[in-house]
Amino acid sequence: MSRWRKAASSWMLLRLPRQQQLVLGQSRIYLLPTPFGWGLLLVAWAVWIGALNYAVSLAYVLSFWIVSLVLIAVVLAYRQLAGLAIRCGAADDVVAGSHALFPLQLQWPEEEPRLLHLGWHDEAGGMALDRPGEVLLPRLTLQRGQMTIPPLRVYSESPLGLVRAFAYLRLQAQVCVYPQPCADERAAASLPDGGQSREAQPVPGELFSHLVAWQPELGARRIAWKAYARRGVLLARRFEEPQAARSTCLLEWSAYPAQMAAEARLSRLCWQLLAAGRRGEDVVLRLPQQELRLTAGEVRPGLRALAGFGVRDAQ
Amino acid sequence: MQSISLAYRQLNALILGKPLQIRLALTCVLAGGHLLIEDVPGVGKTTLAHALAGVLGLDYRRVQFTSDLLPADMLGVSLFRPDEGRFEFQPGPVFSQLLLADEINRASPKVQSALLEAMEERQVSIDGRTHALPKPFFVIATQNPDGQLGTFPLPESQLDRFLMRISLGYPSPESERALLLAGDRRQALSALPAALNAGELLALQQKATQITVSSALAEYVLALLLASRKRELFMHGLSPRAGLAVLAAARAWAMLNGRDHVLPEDVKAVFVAVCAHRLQSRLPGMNSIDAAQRLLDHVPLA
Amino acid sequence: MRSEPRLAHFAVLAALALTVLPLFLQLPPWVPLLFALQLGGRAWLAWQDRQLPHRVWLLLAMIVPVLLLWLSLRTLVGREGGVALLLLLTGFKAFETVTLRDWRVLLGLGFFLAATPLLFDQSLPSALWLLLSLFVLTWAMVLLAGVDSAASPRAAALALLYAMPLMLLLFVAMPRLPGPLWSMPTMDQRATSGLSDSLAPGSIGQMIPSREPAFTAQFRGRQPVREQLYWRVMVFDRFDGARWTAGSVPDSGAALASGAAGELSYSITATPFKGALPVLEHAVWAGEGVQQVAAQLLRRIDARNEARLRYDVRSVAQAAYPAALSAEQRDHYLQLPAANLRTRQQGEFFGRQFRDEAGRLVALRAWLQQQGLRYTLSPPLLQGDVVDDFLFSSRQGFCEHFASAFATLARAAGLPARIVVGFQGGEFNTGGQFWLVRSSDAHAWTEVWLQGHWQRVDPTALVAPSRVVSEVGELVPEAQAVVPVLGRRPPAWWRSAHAQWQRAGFVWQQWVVDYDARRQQSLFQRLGLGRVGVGSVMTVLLLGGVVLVLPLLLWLLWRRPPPRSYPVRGWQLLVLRLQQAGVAAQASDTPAQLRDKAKGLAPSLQQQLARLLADWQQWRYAEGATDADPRWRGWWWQVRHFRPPRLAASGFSASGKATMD
Repeated sequence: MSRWRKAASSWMLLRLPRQQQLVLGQSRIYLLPTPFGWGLLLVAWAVWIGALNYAVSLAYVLSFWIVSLVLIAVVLAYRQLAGLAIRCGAADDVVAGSHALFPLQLQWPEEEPRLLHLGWHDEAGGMALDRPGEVLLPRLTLQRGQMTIPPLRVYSESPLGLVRAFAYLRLQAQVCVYPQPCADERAAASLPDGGQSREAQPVPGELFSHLVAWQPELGARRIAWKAYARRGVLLARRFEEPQAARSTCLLEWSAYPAQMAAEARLSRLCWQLLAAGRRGEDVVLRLPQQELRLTAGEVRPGLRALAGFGVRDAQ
Repeated sequence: MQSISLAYRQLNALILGKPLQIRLALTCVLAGGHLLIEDVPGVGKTTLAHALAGVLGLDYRRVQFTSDLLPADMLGVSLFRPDEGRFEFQPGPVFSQLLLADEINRASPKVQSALLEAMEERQVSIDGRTHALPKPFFVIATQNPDGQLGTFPLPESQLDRFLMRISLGYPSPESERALLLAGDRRQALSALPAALNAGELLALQQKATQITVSSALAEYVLALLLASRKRELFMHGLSPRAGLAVLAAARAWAMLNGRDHVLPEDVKAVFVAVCAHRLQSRLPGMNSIDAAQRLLDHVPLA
Repeated sequence: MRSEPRLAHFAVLAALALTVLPLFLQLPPWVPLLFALQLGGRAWLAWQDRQLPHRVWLLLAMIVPVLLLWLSLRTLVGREGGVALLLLLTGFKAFETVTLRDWRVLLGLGFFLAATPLLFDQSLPSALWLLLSLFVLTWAMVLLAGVDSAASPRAAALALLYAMPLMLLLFVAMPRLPGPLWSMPTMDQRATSGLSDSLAPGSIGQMIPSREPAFTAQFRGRQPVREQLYWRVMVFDRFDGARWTAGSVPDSGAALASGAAGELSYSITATPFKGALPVLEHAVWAGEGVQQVAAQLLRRIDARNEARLRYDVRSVAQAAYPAALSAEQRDHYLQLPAANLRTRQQGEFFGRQFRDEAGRLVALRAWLQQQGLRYTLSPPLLQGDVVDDFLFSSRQGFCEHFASAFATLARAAGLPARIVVGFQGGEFNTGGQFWLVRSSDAHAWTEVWLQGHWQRVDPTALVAPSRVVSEVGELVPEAQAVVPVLGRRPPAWWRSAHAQWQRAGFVWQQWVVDYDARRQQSLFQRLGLGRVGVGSVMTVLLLGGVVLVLPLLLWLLWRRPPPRSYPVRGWQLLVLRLQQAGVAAQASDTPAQLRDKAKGLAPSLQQQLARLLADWQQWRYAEGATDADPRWRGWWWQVRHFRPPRLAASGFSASGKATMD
């Protein structure tokens, strides 16, 4: 692609609004002859010259038929894209450096034969589709964060290959890219000991459950004074028995050397988090200005927090 | 399935003459949605909620909503523990499997929205910490009919957090006669054995989501949604969320009827309960229930 | 499913082969044969998935055929040479095709090759062949674009069909140039059927068995009778004892004045015969593009252009035309070589016997009639003095024998005489209202100068008078129309079908092949658009576009609602049938509701309805239900045959009352 074409297409892309779902219409579809289309027009011209010189009427017929074929191919190619509905489903979170798979759903009336190619705007080629449905379009993720789906290009040269109808699409879909996990040698050392774990847990037997009517045998300690102040009724706080203590793993931003870069820290935290998730441990994740408590196996909020740490929208 | 029909029979024995409302309430539970009962006091709203909690084997709490209720009273508070030098979270009554929110429209909008947010998210965020609500979590809210003094009607945007709205209505004379003769039902209520437990309920809820919805049925629901969006019948059309709610309720209804796929009659059975409170009729002299029924009578199956 | 690329490659090769098939008739056969072999070889390589030969080998392999071509045609440009060279180069290009782009280049060449047979032949069959070629080329194009192979023929046909209105519009409206851009190529001998530039025994006879059409003529207003149809093409006045050729003596014959009574106005579509064009004896006016020259002949203005031409002429059908003859010219027309002594003596005898020239001519004609000459297409080969041998020994011959003998006799008798070669008669096509003149109608007759006029004398008519009034086929079995293969005289239906085909060919010729700058101009004028110019062409394109192309475009771009499926149609029909029977059914009712509402029907109908509804419900809503289920068709038929009779009035009024409440 030449520099000018690149600039033009990026300018065009910026003007496109992001949409949840869109149906292609005439304002979005562009049409250009393919090199083959130009070539056939050249052939038509040559045949026309021959017809002119040799006064062969049938050669005029041939020449004009070829020209008409190229012109009608414009309409036929347009019909390949017109009315095409595209939306992007929810993509699964990925780790940076791997391919995010965007599930793209393309819909059109079943009985219309179509042959489309769907790909990224900045990559040649694409996936061929000849019936409506969902395709998973892979895109390499380069850095962690919230990755917005890059602009797409859908094109078709069907049925004649003479004219290419294409459209650029900016959809609204995001995928969460976790930091690339980096094996943390200090894995064992950074495991928090029992004391820290108790600190993270509420005091046993003190887990507030709900309010009940106060009776003298419950003792004054249980009186919910706040409720009394508000309603003038004596209520007692009832507490739940704590669950059996599970091992808890503390992951801290500050546990790493001060000179370590943020990304490196996140990568190690990510590795630790995944490891803890595999072990089925509860995790407390402490990031600057943020603390998360994660129950066993549910590391996804933690991973998302790592992904979104300090960045809002990474392309 | 045995257990759910047992629960149905038990509820019917306790609450006389309201089989349809009981079925809808069970459907609502199976679809994992919250229920709004709109009725005058004393027709058995609380009994129904209590009985449901009993037969379903759920942990049940009741909060009487008043205008001076604060969000913290319901959600819980973080208490400072001076001996340990840190805050500790005290969960509110919302941390229960079945919460009866009595007279929800008496509470201030602030409390209402706190509850509705918890209902939607199924978790509570206090002081930057997130606390998941128990599973299953199910709210039955009651509200008095509009026009009573000192109430804050629920805003429309929040009404659709409830999967269904039903009203019990006065019992039929026979049922009421039986009710009067039988005396206090509290005894029967406390003697009610649980037909299933929370785990079984979760499994049933999971099973309900597996009920087949064919593309033709989805088309029918879509036709209903589209028809509701035509301007002449309603102020605002049904939202996509309402469509999903109809499908979820219809699935549960189909399951209650022992089928593995949803039929249009299931949609019709739940449609008014699911959609009437999400709609506002434009037609004079016609409430949203009648208008929703009218929609059903006009949208063809194919 | 997408088509396999290899299928598309085979399709391209097949399309190329098909496209150039007619060239077997026009080029040295080894050229198309080699081309076919090249394509076959390429297809074989594709089939076997083998490596293509290296480019160097290709270049080397190309030298030999090109050299051979040069040796056999002595040219690599012009019509034959150019087409043959293009064919060979395309064949080698086929061995260079690897990528999709290469195959598309090859296919583009195929589209160009489709034009080459048209340079040689523009008849209706070759137009049909062009259509076939276009279809196969487009089909290959569709396959190359990756369309499913099962859907590709339809897609190709539709694309061509959609393109057709626009093509027609362009064909009519695009301005034609009156002349060629560069010099016209010389036509080869075969292209002009028929007359040669000299007359020797047998030179016309060889044309007779050919039923090839030579030209067509369409008369406006008055129609001629068959005996008047002497189509004059060439005049020969120099005799060397065996062969007549055209001499160089200028003829100062005065042109006939136009405006005489009995004028025939007609147009002829013909290919020039050595620059000369047929004209009915005798022309009084010649239209655009042609001119009258000496000896009442007609020539094309751009004499070197050998292309087919349509021209208008007016003639007065008569056997003589006035011309002055100088002494020098008179001597020229009396010139005779020393040969054919007996004939000359016979002529000189008449010259002495009859002083009066008119009487001498009558006597000559009478004498010839009495010689017992026989009209036959296969006379014995003449020896030595051909005229003597014919008149006094074999006595069997054809028109050129008669004409040659009579002209020799007349000259010997002192009457200036010459030979006219052309055609006589023709076949009238009733459907197309035109005369078709064939090679078999070729004829030669004599002209004798008598009392200031050139007077036509047809010696053949003296011997075999029916030659002039009926078709040549009646006289000569060889020239009869026969059914191919069977060789019998055709039945009536065959002849009428043949006439229809001829008529189609004539219309084709007139409206398509001959649609040139002049005809375009006259069409534009008839449409009231004036001269062919930017404005008028734009008007035609715009108007034609609105009428022809715009509806097509709108139809193509119109988004049709999806067709209703069997279950949907069936449901609506079922509800309608119930309503017609007086049941208060609604399309919004569920099957259970319909069953309840139809309680008033006869039990058997209720059962039938219940089954229909149960099937509908099951197939439409159960797991795996789809509208494409093949069972729906049968269900739809059952619904169509479900016709419950109208319920009794009581049931109907009950439902009516219910709605009133």
